[in-house]
Amino acid sequence: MDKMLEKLMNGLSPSEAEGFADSFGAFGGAEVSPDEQSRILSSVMRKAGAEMKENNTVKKKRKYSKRFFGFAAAAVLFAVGTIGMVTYAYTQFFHRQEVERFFGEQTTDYLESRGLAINEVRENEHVRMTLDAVLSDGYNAYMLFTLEKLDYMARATSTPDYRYIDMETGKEINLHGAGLSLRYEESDSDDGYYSHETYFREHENYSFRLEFPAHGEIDLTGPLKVVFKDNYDQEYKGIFDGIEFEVDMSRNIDCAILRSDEGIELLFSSIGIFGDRLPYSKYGIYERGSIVMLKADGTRERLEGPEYLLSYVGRYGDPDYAGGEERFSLFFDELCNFDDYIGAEIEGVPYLKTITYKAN
Amino acid sequence: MTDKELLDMLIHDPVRGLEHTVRQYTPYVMKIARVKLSGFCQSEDIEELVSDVFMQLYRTVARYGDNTRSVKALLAVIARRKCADACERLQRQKERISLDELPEDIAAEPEQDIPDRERLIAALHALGQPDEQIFIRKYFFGQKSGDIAADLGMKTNTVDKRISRGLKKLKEIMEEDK
Repeated sequence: MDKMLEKLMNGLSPSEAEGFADSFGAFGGAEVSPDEQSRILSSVMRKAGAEMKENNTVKKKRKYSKRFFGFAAAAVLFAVGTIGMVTYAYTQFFHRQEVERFFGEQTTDYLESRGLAINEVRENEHVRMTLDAVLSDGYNAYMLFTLEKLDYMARATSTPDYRYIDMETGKEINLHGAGLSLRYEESDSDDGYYSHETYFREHENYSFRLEFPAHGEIDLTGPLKVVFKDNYDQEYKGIFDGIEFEVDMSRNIDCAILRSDEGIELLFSSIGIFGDRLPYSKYGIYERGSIVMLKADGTRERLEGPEYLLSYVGRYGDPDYAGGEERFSLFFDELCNFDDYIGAEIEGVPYLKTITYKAN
Repeated sequence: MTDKELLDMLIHDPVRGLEHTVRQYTPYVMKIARVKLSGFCQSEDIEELVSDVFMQLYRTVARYGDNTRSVKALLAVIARRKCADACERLQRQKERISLDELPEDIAAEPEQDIPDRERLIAALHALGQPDEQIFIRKYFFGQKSGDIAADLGMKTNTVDKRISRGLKKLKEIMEEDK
């Protein structure tokens, strides 16, 4: 029996192992020092970056982003004209540079022209954090921050942890699918793209985006508190003490309900497409090219893959777990020109604009 | 983060997914590697092996993502095979543990190397807890009775007795079913 068990375990497949999930889950973990953790993470991200580059999976990113997303100069001029030259520009070149790095030049121009550049700063002895922009369609939102690291302790940390607090109740908001995104770096040396540079950039100053896919379930008419905290595994503690913002989340960009012939509805705005159910036939599987944006001029723009523009897509939460529901969130990497599109086609099913809600 | 969320992220945003997975599961993989390789390999080699386990996970999820349900179980299987390979190569006195020659097709079905494979798995489940866990710890992870006892808050001889009784029970179940 001993030998049979040895043989069984030697050849145990992942699917068989899943049957022993409780026993595997109870095995626990070893103590790992922050240095070990950091070396392993660094090694993995370096190898993964090299492999992704080798696979050449994201070479089209730059070309695609510019073709599809860059805000048209005309749109910017229109916005400036109608708002009466309200310009809240980024007060420091550094911030404008970081926002540009994240969203591109034309989107940054647009944020400034619409008075959406915020420049709200919080600082302690270790870090200076600036809230650069908030974009909300009234149902979902994201916030753009810049983190400047002021001492060696801060430079030794990676991304901060964060919490959302409902300011009326003082309670923490748990939001499935919320995330923190860094902009991936593109190499200057060739058309390639090195994902591992993202990791190394974490040690420098950088911009990041907090995604807030609330799906209309959180009241976004009032302010929300965003509190930054130390990440559980960072070497030095207290780096983000006192860094918190009261963020106005009310709608500041247009959005529209997209509806299919079968009555399935999605929400579309400049920041993304969102739904209460997956518009895919197969759970959690996004087929490359299965999302096509439909333009008002009759042309079609195919979104070629999640690595180009999707921060998160899929189902979050567990349907067997309380509160876990199917949700679909597609965050664009850059703002798309909302007025240019009449809808989207997903797996061959068109979802067309119906009601439009204008920015407040 | 749940395994389902991690898997979704690994499929749709591999860089973030991989980073979250490494942060969440390094202690787990490290424990497997230390149990298997402490005394044989230096800590730098163990770290290298752990990082290769995560890379293998990344490749496996890229190929078989929609068939994967548990990140933890997949990591355990990959880690065990990597460790076994490292031990084998050490025994052959190769000059350095090269971690690049391992089979990529980790999610493929295993060879049917023993008769009644499915029945034996069912029999192990039939032992119930904590015996199933003790058997997984001993035969899959290679933990010694003393370490199993320490982890589970039992006495070493209790663990030994449970293994002995469990082996008898497994034999009976297998013979009953014939």
